[in-house]
Amino acid sequence: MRWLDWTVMIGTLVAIAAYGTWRTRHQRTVNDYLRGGGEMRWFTIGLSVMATQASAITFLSAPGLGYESGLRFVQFYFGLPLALVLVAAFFIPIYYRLRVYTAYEYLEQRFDLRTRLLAASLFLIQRGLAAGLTIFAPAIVLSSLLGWDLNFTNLFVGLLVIIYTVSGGTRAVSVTQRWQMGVIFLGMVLAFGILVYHITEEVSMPVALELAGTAGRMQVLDFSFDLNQRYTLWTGLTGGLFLALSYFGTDQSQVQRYLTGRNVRESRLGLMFNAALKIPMQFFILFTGVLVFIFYLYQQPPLFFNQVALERLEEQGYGEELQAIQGRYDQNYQQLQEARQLLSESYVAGGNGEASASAKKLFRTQLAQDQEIRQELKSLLLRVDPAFKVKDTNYVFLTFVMEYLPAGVVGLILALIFSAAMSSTSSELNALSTTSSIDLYRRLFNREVSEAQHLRASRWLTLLWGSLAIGFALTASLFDNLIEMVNLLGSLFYGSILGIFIVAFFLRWIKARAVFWAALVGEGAVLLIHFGRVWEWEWLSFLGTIGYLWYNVIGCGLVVLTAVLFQALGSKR
Amino acid sequence: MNRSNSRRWRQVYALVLLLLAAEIIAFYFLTEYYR
Repeated sequence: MRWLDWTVMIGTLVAIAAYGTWRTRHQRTVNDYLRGGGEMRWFTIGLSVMATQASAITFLSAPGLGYESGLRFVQFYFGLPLALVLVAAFFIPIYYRLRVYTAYEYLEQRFDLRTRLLAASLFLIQRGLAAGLTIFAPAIVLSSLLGWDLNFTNLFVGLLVIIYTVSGGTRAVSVTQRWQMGVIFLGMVLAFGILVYHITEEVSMPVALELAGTAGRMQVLDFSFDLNQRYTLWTGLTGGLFLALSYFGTDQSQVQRYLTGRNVRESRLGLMFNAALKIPMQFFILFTGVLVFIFYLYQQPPLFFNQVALERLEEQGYGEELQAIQGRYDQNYQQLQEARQLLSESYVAGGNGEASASAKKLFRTQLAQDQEIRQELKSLLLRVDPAFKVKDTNYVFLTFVMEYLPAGVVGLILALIFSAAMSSTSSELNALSTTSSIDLYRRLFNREVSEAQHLRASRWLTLLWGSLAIGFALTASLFDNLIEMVNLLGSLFYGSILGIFIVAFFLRWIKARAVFWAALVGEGAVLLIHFGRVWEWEWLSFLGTIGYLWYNVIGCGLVVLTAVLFQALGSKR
Repeated sequence: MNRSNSRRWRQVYALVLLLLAAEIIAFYFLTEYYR
């Protein structure tokens, strides 16, 4: 890291945090602190919703996914516009009419206190853990790649976020997110432009895209009905729809962003902004990964993008085996370049006929051999440490950035990664504080709390959740499979919470008791299914390897159906 | 909320969903072209 990169990175992050703190220094009321005074315009809301969802891992893993398997992942977001339309049409008017601070407040008015507390508690557990992960996940990648101290990285991100979120509440979150999205946008455009520049020095763009296409990186849609396929058109439109509906409609970290609007219109437009832009944005990020793939057809990529893992292999005495694999990899890369050259010449010559077909076949064969050699390395890594994470996709984009981008731009990209982490974390802390403050503190312990006392309590709660998030991030590396576990938690709980809200909004004849017990049954069933699969119960084998995404659908469906059944049985008596 | 307001919002939603359909169609052509 050069001094210019350090300056750009730290300068950008500190300036945004300082600006956010200064701009929102006069927070006098709880309405100001938790709802931003209810004055935000659609553009700020739109950017805030976008910034909350796009965490650092989006910008690390999505280009890596684009590099490794192309554009398919964009299908995951196909359900999002429809979900946002439903939230805008049905959820927002109700939240505004009842003037709630949290989504769960609504549940007490519709059902009863225990349903409200159930949903709020599930949110606090799941989001509380996720907040720590939002800090930890990029920190582990950055500290591996750049050799930074992991604890220092966690503390740096966590403390900066705490400062402006505790000080300025919701408004500080929104104000800083505007600038953070600006940094993110600028960084991605620069990285994209520089990639195009480097690629076009070697080959024309149309031929470059043909190469990517032959390598299967340009296939977006997958129409197969195989539920074990992670990303297909159908999983995006259904599973993705349920996930997005739950996330945007019932997760306080998003609900809080759009409840800061001055009226229903501003909130709705903010969501429509996201409905229109999310898919193009995701496509753009994935396509950047595809460009990295094309770039590495002309410059040899590392055998494994997580260099620290290779160093560990050498330290543990596997240097010779590693060298042998590296040697085979280098040799294969030479052959890959020859095949690539042959193929690009055939494209320039027209791209048809036998010569072109055989060039394509050779190119694909070399790519497959490249993958096999990398698989050999991964097997070696697993032999040395069976718990090791052999996916290095999160390191691809940053490896490219560190090696090939100019001074200053590297600092900007790192600021981008941190900005994405901070924008998500600040929303999460703000939502955790609001939910504990409104749904627990004020509702259970102090209904007659004064304005000043409530404001003070909200600040302390933000500080508490921030500290817990940092604490969790600092200890996260002690636990295996942590990221998977926390992401899984979301899928385990989201379906049931969505089911409660679906009943609340659309099945008005169902009462509190029926939905509460239905939620417990639905949640219990999802947990049973999940742990049954973990413990390999035979009767669940028909589920195969369906992804966690489907737990949302199962959980939601079960809650709704069971609530209908319970209400019907209850009213028969 | 009055009727013309509701109609305008329905038009906005329809536009957004139309955009989604157009994106999926564009992705279809992209996929087929590079298959």
